[in-house]
Amino acid sequence: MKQKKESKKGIIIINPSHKNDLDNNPQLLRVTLTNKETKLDFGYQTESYYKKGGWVRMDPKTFIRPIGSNKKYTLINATNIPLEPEQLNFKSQEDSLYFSLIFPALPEGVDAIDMIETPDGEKPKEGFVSPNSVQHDYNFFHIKLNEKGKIYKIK
Amino acid sequence: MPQNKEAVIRYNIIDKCLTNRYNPFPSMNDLIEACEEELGTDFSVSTIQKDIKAMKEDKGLGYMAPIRFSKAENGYYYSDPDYTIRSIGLNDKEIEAIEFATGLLKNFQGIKVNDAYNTAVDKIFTSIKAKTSDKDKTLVHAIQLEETTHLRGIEDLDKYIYCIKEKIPISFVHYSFSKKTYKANIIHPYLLKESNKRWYLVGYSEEHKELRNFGIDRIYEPVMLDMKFIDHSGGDLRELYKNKIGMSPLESGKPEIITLWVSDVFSKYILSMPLHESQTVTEHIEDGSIRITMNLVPTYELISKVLSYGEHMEVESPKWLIKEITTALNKTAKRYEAKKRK
Repeated sequence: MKQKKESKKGIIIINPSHKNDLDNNPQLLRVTLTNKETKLDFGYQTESYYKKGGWVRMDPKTFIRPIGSNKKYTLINATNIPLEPEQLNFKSQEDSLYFSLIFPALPEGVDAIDMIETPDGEKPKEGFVSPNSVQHDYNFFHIKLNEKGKIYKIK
Repeated sequence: MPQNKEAVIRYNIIDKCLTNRYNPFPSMNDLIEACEEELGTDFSVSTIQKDIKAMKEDKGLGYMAPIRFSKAENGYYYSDPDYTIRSIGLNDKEIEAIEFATGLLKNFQGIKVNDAYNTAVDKIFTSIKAKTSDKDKTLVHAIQLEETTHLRGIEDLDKYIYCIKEKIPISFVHYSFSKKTYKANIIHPYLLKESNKRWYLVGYSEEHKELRNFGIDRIYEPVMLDMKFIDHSGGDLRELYKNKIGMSPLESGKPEIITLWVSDVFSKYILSMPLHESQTVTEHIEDGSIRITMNLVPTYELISKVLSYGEHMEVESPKWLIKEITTALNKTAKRYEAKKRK
């Protein structure tokens, strides 16, 4: 049987609502949902806490999880940000970074997800250092994927 | 090179020889030499004879070229002096113009549009005159533009052009150098504008609900969207940038009369290449200096321009602009003073 060509087109959610303790830095900018992957785009601006802006890296075990489900979708790729044990050392307090995290595709009908670098109860490993945040790891809760006026079809 | 392509090139070389008014009646040796020179390989008399026969008689080729041999001149010629096999009747001057423009475009290497253009030009040259000769190449080397370093985001230029042409909105992430923040936004693109070797995407910004421009070097991951396009209804956008030097307006963003004094040293430069098309000389001063006015929207780029002339240029009005320049110069002076004290 001839296989149906898989389309990479999907939807993009711009500035999705979410909760976290990271003082909006890094900032979650977009979520792209296709039948191949789930991509989250972030922007980070270094802070004055560190003389040279500090450093960043992601835990390769980072995952997304649909709200109300225990199923984890673990990170499959990262663009522009190194994975632990590698790290990116900034050069100044003026540096900034645009990066993306890529996870497996989500099933249809998921309305919101969490993105977790450190699960509850685990000690933060200083994956993403943000001095103003309650914890050092990089967790985003209840990222809404169904918000009216924020969802656009990709051409 | 495929044999048939090489044969087509030889036909074009022979055609070029037969239409060269400065060397009429080329001999068999002339034709062989011309082919060998252009293609860098040896050709026999029989190959060129076969080429001439094909050009004259091959119905598939379709030239049916009226080639004759003159015993008196010991050379070949077209019995119809206007005949040429060139499908595009470009004359040498027109060909030279294309080569000149190609040379200019080389300044924007890396742009896919430019790659497509180069391929198109190659095709034209293949069909009309075999290939660019070494002599023609010297034309490209006869001009040198200031080199542009690689601008971040230039690789998406063709995507922007396509979206402008096809009216496709774009989702993108923009980083503001001044605010030091990233923002996800949607633009309905209308125009690509070049200013001071930087490219800007101009269009309706969904975030700002108005016309905005974004430096493409600060745009991350443009994604084409399948949504209704908001058309521009405010006339020719190119007019919008006519009353500005640069892209970043200051203050009200409205045009103002700017008066500048220019020293004798630089007055001739400013007269031979005005700062802006609205530039008018209001006074020629005895010492050779001049006073000029311009009617334009003050921009950050205008301030940079004035500062670049140092003591040879002075803003005389408006007052707020004098203050801006003074502040900038004072800060610079303080910085150098501090260095001296170290």
